[in-house]
Amino acid sequence: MAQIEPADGVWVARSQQGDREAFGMLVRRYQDRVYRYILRMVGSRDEALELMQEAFIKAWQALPGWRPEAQFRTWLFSIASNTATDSLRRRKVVEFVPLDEDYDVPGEAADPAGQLQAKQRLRALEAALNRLPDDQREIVLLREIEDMSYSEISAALGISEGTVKSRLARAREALVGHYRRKDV
Amino acid sequence: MKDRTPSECPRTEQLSALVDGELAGAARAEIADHAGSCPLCGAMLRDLGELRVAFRPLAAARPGVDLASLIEQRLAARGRPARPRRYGRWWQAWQLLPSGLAAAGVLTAGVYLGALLTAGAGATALRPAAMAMFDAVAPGGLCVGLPSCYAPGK
Repeated sequence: MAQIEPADGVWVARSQQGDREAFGMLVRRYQDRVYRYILRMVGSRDEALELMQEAFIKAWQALPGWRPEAQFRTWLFSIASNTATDSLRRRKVVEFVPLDEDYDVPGEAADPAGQLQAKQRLRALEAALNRLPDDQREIVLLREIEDMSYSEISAALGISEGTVKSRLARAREALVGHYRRKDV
Repeated sequence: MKDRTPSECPRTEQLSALVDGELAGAARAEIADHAGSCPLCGAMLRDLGELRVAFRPLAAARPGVDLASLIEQRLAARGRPARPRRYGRWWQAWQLLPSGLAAAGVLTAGVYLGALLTAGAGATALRPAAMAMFDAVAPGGLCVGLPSCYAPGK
């Protein structure tokens, strides 16, 4: 029988007592999500790895301030968002990072032509995403990739649900417009 | 439901919320009905749905390394997370001490100088040497017959 993983709150409570292994469990649980969010925000793999570590260390330092009423995931993403935004503010320019050549696009056609088309479509999406303003891009990523609800995004970014709704719609409109122009 | 003209079409905001399942019952039914009959909104709704699908591959990105052990090592050097300090009111009062002392000093100096000006006691105006030329007998001059010139102490 598969062992049920303890909820975040259990690991967080232990981490608050200084248990680094418990915090390590939280890192393992969230490192992929935090990485892909930061990667799409800053557009550089190396920088994303560095910023991800920075975000987790900031989370460790801020742990005593965490309250059980807050969802750990949204709390962690608020730290990741601030870390990525600070980095973008420092350098002002986002470097466009294309997908790796050997990247497999899941759920797409097995034939080479279909794979190629899927990759092109994905690159077009990445390019469109990188053209969005930072405040729109972060909302799209939290919604489309992290599958957060409006209330979770609102908690993670410290903005109202109404702002989430309108900003997300503007971002999607821009992405759809770009897609239509490219006719991908 | 009444058909809307294009200018009455719901904003993308509503269609976007519909795709996300973030609209409440009545609004959801109304927007969905409209999109079913309006070519513009129907097309936008399809595009928004396709966009959601297009994002799925991006969720597959992985760092490719397990950073947990690396982070644990970095944390070992930092020690236990510090509990936020909770200062009481007495501490907040003590924090005001330096500025309070400065304010008291300025006030005391102001009162002292004011008292000197108004009372005049103890305040002896200095007489510049240059003013001596306006004396009854200019410096170096001879005093002719004025008894006060020869008064003791002169």
